[in-house]
Amino acid sequence: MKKICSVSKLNKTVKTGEVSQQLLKNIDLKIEDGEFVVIVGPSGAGKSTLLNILGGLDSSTSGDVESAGFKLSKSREKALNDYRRKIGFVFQDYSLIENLTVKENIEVMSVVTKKKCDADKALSLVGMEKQGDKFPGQLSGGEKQRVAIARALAKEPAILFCDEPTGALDEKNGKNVLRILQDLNRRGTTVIVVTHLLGMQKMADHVIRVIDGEIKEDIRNTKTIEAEDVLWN
Amino acid sequence: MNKMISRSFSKKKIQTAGIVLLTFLWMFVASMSVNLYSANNKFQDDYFSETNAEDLEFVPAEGTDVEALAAKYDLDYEERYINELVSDGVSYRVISSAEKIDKPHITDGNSLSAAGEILVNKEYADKHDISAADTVTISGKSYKVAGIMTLPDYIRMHVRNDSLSYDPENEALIMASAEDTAAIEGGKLSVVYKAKFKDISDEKISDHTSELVRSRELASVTFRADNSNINALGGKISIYFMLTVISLCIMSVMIAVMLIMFIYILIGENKKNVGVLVANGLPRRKVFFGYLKAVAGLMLPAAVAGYITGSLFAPVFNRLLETDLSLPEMKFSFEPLFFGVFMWIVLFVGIIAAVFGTRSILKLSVVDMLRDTKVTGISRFERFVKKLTKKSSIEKKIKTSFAIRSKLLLVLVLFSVFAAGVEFFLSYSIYRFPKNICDAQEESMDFESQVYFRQPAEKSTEGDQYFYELKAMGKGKKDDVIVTVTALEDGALLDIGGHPSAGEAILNKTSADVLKAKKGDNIKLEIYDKEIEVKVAGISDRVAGKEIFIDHAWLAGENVIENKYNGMFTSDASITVDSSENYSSVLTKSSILESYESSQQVMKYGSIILGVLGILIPVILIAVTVSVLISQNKKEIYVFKANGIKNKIMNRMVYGSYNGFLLLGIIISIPYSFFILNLICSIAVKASGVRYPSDLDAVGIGFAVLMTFIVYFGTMLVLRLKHNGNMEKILNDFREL
Repeated sequence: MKKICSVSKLNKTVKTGEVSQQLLKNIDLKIEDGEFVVIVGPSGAGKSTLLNILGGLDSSTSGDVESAGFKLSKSREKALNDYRRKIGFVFQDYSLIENLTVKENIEVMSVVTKKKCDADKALSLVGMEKQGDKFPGQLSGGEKQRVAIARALAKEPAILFCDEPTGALDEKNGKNVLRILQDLNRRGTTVIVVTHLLGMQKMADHVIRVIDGEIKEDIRNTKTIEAEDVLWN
Repeated sequence: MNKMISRSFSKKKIQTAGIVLLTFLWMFVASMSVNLYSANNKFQDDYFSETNAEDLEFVPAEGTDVEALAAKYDLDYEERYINELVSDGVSYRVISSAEKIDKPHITDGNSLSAAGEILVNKEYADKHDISAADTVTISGKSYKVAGIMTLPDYIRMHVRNDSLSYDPENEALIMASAEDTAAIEGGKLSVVYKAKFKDISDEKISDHTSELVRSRELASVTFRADNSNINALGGKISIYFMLTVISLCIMSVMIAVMLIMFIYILIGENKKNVGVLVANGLPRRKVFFGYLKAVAGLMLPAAVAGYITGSLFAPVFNRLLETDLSLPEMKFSFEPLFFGVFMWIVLFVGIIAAVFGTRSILKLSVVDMLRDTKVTGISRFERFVKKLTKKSSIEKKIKTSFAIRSKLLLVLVLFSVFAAGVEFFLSYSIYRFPKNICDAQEESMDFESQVYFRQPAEKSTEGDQYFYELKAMGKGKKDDVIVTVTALEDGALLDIGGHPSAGEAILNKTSADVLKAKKGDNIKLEIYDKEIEVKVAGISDRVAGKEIFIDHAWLAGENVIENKYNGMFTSDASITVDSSENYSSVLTKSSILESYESSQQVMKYGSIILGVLGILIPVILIAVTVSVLISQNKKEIYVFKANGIKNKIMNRMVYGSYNGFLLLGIIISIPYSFFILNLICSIAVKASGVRYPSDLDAVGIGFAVLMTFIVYFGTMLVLRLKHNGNMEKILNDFREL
């Protein structure tokens, strides 16, 4: 399988006043094209920092990061923007624009990518085609997350990054979201998810366990389960 | 809690700096204008009180019993000899000493105490280095200078040394005893009476005034209200008054809007933290007073600093104006007058109102506070705007969504642009006043010299145009007002747009304004004891005084005046004053124009201040607004950035979100500016008797629109140049969340 993401000797240190804190230590990682990757670990382990660096939202202190053909660690803002237009990002808090309708929230991606985005198609992929004229405030948490995924999908991303996509959802809504992500992955999109939900490990092709800024486990599953069968805890 | 509040202030550096700067600026301008106004006003009051300035000056008609006239009209009066002569190339006007009315103000030396002593006016003395105890020779006789003086009825000289034909190099004003005045040889001696009303009611003064205007017992009369010499300083003070009122009105509204926005956003963004404290039992009133204390603590030092700096700068500004006005030396003082107190009241009310205005946030349920949902739904206003922009591009929709997220910000931007438009339009129009006045005046003058003489005379010089100038009570659609009627000879060099036919009058715009008369109206005039009715044949552009022009021959035919000429004549030759002639003064066209233009110089300073405010205030308000807009929409901006939006597009959406409202603000500002301009002009007409042109000038509108565009887009451009850093900061802020 073709490699889509690779990380080598990645370090990330942040300084708060006089105090330095190393968030990521010597991370080495390879992700294949079309994989469903789950990054797990306790709070403060560095999962989201790793996802942000892979998504081009944050920079590393040292090391090399290559993703979707972009050398992120050496890229300037302009190249990073080009990269960000090629990937999709789903946030835990949905980050929808409250005073734009659902459909408009997806159409904004046409402004970002400067190419026409099919909002209806993206909404139908997440089963929200009938809710296009509603405002985010009129939707449930699960529906908002589906809109957030549809917005990312509208860009037809090479990789979809999701930061705790089910973090604020109950089991029913959460599994709906997982099923959408699994369907997308089966259509060929690489999906990388940061989660606390340990049950998700069994539906992933590739599980990365991060503890204290280091990768403690990097395993690939040969057999995966369906989203509906994920154990919700 | 106090720490939480103060840290929330320090997080909003631009807004905090903006409110501090605006408070300082407001207090600075207000304090300076209040000081200038009150100090000059006080000077004028003290000066007129010390010198006992006249209420009127008159020359009785032949055979008038002055004592009986004074008794009839409740007047205290003082006879004054005036001896005018030319000696060694210097024109002297020697006035007999004043004991009661229009007394001299001694600036150096002493009052007159013996025969052979004189007082010399300050302007001439300064020019010729004359001081007390020196000797001055007039017409071959030496006089000892007892002191140096200024006179209230010649205050124009002190207001402006070279005003109205006064030449301090070659013209001297001398005060001597009555005997010495009369004894000076080679001069033209005349008599005038200075008078003051006794302690009688205003109503009675008004009745007496209108009777005196029409009285045949007087050859001429000039009231203090119409005496441009005495009122010269008053005109300047009224301009300071206007500047004070304008600056207080514009800036107090601005500061109130700014404060409310500032506090609203501070508390609004902090409501989650407030919610946590309230949920743990902190009384809401403590939160309210905590914010009140913090805001007051931030603004009061800035206000005090602005107030002190403004008071300190006022004397400096007064001196700067001295090129135009020889204003009194002003000392640093705090003015606890009405306006001084008013600006502090506005500030305190502003602070309290701003915090009260945010009670809606503090009244929220604790759950709502903790939820910290800035936008829980979509408001009716947003729905309305969205309907309007339904067919717009998605980029425009996003811009609109940024712009309308906070109605307060929207109002602030509209107000900033509106204020800039108003200030620039007014600044331009006021700056143009002196030139416009001059142009209008110049157009009406085809002569080179305007010569005033004392007594009615027969026509003596072939080719010159004689006028008969007299006072009248005029009545149009408004109450009675005193106007100056000029009986005009046909073919006059004074261009008033034609010559009035029999029974018709041409009014200048000032008299048309005060009489509320327009072309075709009939107005009534009472000249001496005769009432005449004339039809308004036209309105002239002439700006001086409240003037009405009527055909001389018709007035003589109606027996209103004698077939003589009193007042002045104009000539296309350059005439110099010759004491052997019956001239009182000669004004050249250029001196009149120069006087008009330079006496309005203070307007230019005012308009420059207004223009600077037009730049500073909108820049501060726009910068603060945009910083708040970014802060309020940082989550959305983060989403766009995370999806790889180009900086150019992001900039366009953030910094272009208010573009549509820019036009709206400007459009509203134009009619409002015109309304304010008219208001200013009508105040100015009443204060100075000069008509200020208030036409809706296309160039003025163009200037206001262009400058507002420059200020708006210039501010946006500067903020844009800081964009990348800003956006990174937003990203960092977001990550911290």
